[in-house]
Formats: sequence, structure tokens, C-alpha cells
Amino acid sequence: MSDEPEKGLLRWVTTTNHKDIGTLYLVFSLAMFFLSGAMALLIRTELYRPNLMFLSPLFYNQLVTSHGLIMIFGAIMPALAGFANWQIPLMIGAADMAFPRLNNWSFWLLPFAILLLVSPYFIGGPAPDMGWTFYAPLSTTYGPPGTDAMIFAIHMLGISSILASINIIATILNLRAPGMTLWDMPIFVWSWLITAFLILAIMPVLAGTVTMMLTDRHFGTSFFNAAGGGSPLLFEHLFWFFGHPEVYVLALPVFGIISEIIPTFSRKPLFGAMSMIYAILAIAIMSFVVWVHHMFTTGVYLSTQLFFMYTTMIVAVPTGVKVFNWIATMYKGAITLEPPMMFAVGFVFLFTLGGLTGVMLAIVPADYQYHATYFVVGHFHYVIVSGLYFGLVAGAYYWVPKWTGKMYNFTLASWHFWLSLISSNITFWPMLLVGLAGMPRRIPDYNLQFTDFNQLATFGAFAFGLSQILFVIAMRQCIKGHQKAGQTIWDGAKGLEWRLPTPLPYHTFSEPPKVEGKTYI
Amino acid sequence: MIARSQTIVPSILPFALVSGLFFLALGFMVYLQLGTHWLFALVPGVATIIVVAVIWVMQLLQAPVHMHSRKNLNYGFGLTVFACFILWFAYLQIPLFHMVCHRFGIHGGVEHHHQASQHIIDTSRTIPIHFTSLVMQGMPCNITLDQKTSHWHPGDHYRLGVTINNPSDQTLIVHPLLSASPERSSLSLHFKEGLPDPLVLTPYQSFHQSLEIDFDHDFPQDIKTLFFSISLSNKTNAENPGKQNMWYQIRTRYASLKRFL
Repeated sequence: MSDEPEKGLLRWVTTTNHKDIGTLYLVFSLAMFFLSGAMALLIRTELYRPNLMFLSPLFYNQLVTSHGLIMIFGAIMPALAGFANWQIPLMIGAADMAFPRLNNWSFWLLPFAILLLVSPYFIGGPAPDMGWTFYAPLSTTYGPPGTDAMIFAIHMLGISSILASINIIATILNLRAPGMTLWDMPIFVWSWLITAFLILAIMPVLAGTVTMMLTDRHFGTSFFNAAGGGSPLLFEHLFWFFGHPEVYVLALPVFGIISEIIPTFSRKPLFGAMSMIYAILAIAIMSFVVWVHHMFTTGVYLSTQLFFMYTTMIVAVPTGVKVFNWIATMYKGAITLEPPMMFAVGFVFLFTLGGLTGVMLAIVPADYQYHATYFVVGHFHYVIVSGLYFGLVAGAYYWVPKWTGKMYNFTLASWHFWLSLISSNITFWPMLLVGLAGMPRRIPDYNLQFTDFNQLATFGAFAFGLSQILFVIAMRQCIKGHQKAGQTIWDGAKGLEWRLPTPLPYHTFSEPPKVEGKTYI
Repeated sequence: MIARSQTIVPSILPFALVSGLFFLALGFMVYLQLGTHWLFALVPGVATIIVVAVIWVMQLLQAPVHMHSRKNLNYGFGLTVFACFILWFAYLQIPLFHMVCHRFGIHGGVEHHHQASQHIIDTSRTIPIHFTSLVMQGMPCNITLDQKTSHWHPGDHYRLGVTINNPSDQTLIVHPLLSASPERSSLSLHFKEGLPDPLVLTPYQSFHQSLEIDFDHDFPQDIKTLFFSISLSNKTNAENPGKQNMWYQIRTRYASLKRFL
């Protein structure tokens, strides 16, 4: 076992080191973020003014579909997996993940899956154009040929997620340092343990659903075809049984990241750490009984609507507990606003805003008005971009200097924060307003009265996209810069990973550390 | 729960396995879309996967077994079984879904179907209808409906008179949009003929049309009242985006503030 990594491309193809694979995940995620972000900018450019400008409606729909799928499966999930790969072994004192080869396998499935997903733009198209939810019969009876590529890509992405989850669960349950009980684990590790179980419980459902789509398209089955005794609504049920917990798959690890950052920069232990774990668990369990809130307008019974309305609103309770705990942690803390903390506070504020618009959508009569409008688009972009993306960036600013031993420029990162904060609100707030005014989603053209706010949103989107270049520069400084990070990077940080030398050696914890007492909680 | 140092050996096998899966997916697509013989389409991918899997398993069997690696395998096996169970559960949803639809008659399931009828007038139900008309701000035309409210019986046939005037001295291109709230009610409204779109009105021209509407007999029971609206938007303004009043007002407010500063 060499202490130094091999050189060259082969290192990245064959590596089984959790740090290398974490890096691969994060770099891939950033690349996909920019690819999918470029698609978003094309969409926003088309929406700059009414009438069709330069995209055909078909290509517009293809972009909307690819943007959603790549952002969720290619950008956000791999970013979370990247943090998990880097941090989980470090935080629990393990030498590596439980299945290092499986780890490599689950990463390399991703680029091939995305290649397959975008392949219909170049060969075997047209590309899928039915939105990221790929509802039947748009994706079955009326799906373009490129839908097959999407189905196989989702299979590969699903395998990747399942393998990663198995690996993470086995690592956490089996490779913790001696003396570290489950209740001693950091919140980030807890959040990933619960998330991994969540992934295992939903990804096979998605895999089954897309397999049914495939057989409906080519092998004469009628799972989703009403003419053959099936039901398109069955597709919606199956999809959202996966789709809503998927939102929490994206959110829970970010909750873990924020729960690490806020105590560090408040110089206080996390307020109500146990309740934080129970809240994550409650959110994960509740996420299985809310899916019909995506389907209120499909004609389900009023009693069913009410049940799912109440369950959806109940999810706000453990989420509220988390927000309360973060704020209570900051209360009377010796707070300093370094870039990770700025993004963490920004996350708490914006995610709460996004969550509240979600509660609005959960109200059945109101949802009849909001359904399929830009309000929904504004809501989930507040949650995912303004919320989760901020959390991911906070994590990167928090941990990357420790990994690489180089520090980024604080002024640059602060500019990144303020520009992102302002521009994301300029982008997504108008979406809520035009949605309330009745602008439907997934259209390349719109009525005249929505012009002003759409122009504002387009302006904001370009500003947001451009301001992310500052993040790339900051990360480059962490890798190639000259400013060295000290041994103690953040004076309030606690945990096994902070006891290791800076930068982190290629192999860590070859001998497991001894953990005594409650290090974190 | 024993953490030990692990022998971390780089391996090309995972990448090779991914390549095999990719070839298999590509082969499947070629088979489905181009009709290539399945043998040529699928064999390269399947062969790659089998070869890699055999080598991988052989290497696993030859590797020294530690206590933690055996426990890892146990976890891995257990969790894989769990994932397979969930996959089975996804398929179980299909009979469950149809059983629930059958039992409760929801989602248009078997033994329960809607049939629209124009012949039976359900006089036991009277639905209040409120008519509204909207004209986009700054558009020099007006719209008049010949009634403001009405009471309709499901299954009956109704008329609504619509008059659109252009009192200005310019030609207007108008987009009339019909909408009903709640949204589901629109499924029960059938128009013999819609309003022309776009509607071109020469200076001082007036346009009148009587809309004929069939109101479905199976209008949803839970909808107690109905709002019907006709909105007019003006395409001619769309050629000058950013010059609408609201945007203009924001700019003016900002400009005056700048002067003040």
C-alpha cells in the first residue's frame, strides 16, 4: 500500500481511495452543474420576452427535461456523494469505505449514464421532451426515440445510487472507530445513514417504473396504457413514491453539513443534537406518506387529498425543529461570519423561504390554483438552488481547505456569497410572483403581462450563473493557490477529521483512533 | 464494529464493468430502434460483464478474509436483498393500485366509468355561474358579456353573448382566452365554436359572437360554483417588451430617487 497516489489518468480510473473518489464525484458534479446551468440559461434567454425567439418548442422542452434530470442526478446527488466519500471515513475514523471497488464502480457509472442521457441530442434522437417527471403516456405512447436512452441512463444512475448507499451503510455500521457508538457519530454521518436507507427504499421503485415504461414502449405490456387496462395515473403514483423522498435524499445530507458548520462558527455545541437526529429520522419516514400532494388535481378523493395535505404539513414540524435548533445554536454564540457560515446562514434563510412556499402548495384548495404554474418552479428552485446549493457550497468552503492544505481568498468567497444571494433571489422571487399571477410552467412562450418579471428572472439567472465562476476560482485557489491553510483552520471545529494533519495525507487512519466519550453530541 | 487498516489496491475491474453495462445499454437501444439481431446487439455488453464479474469474484475468493470484510459482505448482501425486495414492492404496487381503484372506484378504475350525456338534464343540481371579463392593462378595447351571473343545470345547453369593441383608431390584434375555475370544471364545458384567435379588429370595429356551451351531465359533484372568464391580451404590445406600465413605474421611481440623491 503506497503512501502516495499514482500519477496520470489511470490513477483516477482505477482508484479505490475514498478521497480520490470523493474528488471525482465533486469535480463531476461541478461540471454537470455548469452543463445543466448552461441549459437553464438557454431556457431563461428564450423566456426573456414573449413569442418564440430562438429555440423551437421541441428543443425548449428537451432542454427543460435534461436540465432537471442532470441537475438532480448529475449535479446535486454526486456532490452529496462526494462529501460522503471524503467525510464519512474521516469522521468515524475508518481507513476507507467498506467496499472500495464498489465505490469506484458507483462513481464511474455516473459519467456513462449522463453520456447516455445526452446522447439523443447527437444520435438516436429526438431527446426526451416530457419534463424531468417523464409522465406516461408522454414518455410511453408519445415518447420520442431518445426516451430509451433516458430509461437506460436512469437504470445506471439508480444502480450507482444503490451501490453507494450500500457502501455508506456498511461503512457507518461496521467501520466506526473503537469506542464510537452510533449516538457519538457526527450529525453529518447520521444524516447520511438515514439518507442511504431512504435511497435504498426508493431507487428500486424508480428502476421498476422505468422498466415498466420500457416494456410498455417495446414489449406490448400495458402498465400505463389505459387502452390495455393499465393506468397513466399509476405512473404518477409510482414516480412520486420515489420523487418526493428523493427531495429529502437531496436535503438531509445538506442538513447534516449545516449542522456541522453552524456550531463551529457559533463556538457552541449544536442545540438539541438528539432532537436533530430524531427530526431527520421523522422527515425521512414522513417523506413516504406525502407523495399525493403532487397529484391533488388528478381527481383523487377529497378525503385522500385532506390526508396528504395534513401529512405534508406535518413534515414542516421536524423541519421547523431543525431550523429552530440552528437558530438556537447561533443564539448568544460567539459568531464569526467566515464564508462557510455566511452560506450556512443564507441556507437557513432561503431554505425556510422555500419550505414555506411548499406549505402553501400543500394546501389543497390553494394547490388547485398554483398547480402547474411558475409558483411551483419558484418553490423548488428556492429549495434546491437557493437552499441546498448554498449548503453544498458552505460544505466546500468549510472542508476543502482541510483536504488540500490551501486556503481561498475570503474576500472573493464573500463576493461569491453576496452575488449568489442577491442574484438567486432576483431569479426565483419573480417566478413565485408570475406563478401566483397564473403563468403556466414548461412553456417557451407566455402572455404579455408576465414580461417584466420574466426579464428580471433572466437577468438574475445570468448574474447567478456568472457569480459561480468566483466559486471555481476559490476552489482553484484551494488546489493550486499559495496561501497555506494552518493546522487549525476553524478554531471552533470539533471532530476526528480536524485532528489530522493539514493537508490530509493520502491514507488516513491506517490504525483506527480511540474514541472516548461523546465527541460530537 | 472493528476498524482495521485495509489493503486498498487500485483496480480496473469496476471501470471495465461499467463499460460492459454501457455497451449493454447501447446494444439494447440498437436492438430496439434499429432492429439489429439481438445476438449482435447484446452479446458484446453481456460478454464484457460476465468476464469482468468472473475475474472480480475470483479475486474476491482469493483475498484474505478479515473479520470486518466478512461483516461488510454480510451487510452488503443483506442490503442488496432489501433493494431487491423494494423492486418487487414496486411491482406489487400495480395489483394494489388496481385493487384500490376497484374497491373505491377512484381514478376511473374498473367498474366505474364516466359517461358524458347531453340528453339528461339534472334539474336537481343548480350550479351558480359567475362571468367575468378581463382586458390587459393599457389595451384600448373593451369586452361586454350579455350576462353577469347565471344558474346552470348539468346536462343542459346554454348560450353566452360576447361583444368585443375597438374604440380606438388603430388596428388591434387580440387574443381572447377562455378559462374556467376550478380548473377541473373546464372538462365539463364543451364549446360548439371558440372565439377566433387572433381576432383582428380594425379601428372602431365591433365583434359579436354567441358562444354555445354544452354543460356535461356528469359535472363533478364536489364543485358547487363555477367562475367563467374571458381575458383579452394584445399582441401588438408584445413587440415592445419592457414598456409596460409597471416596469415604467419602477424605473421612474428609481430615476426620481437618483435625482434626489
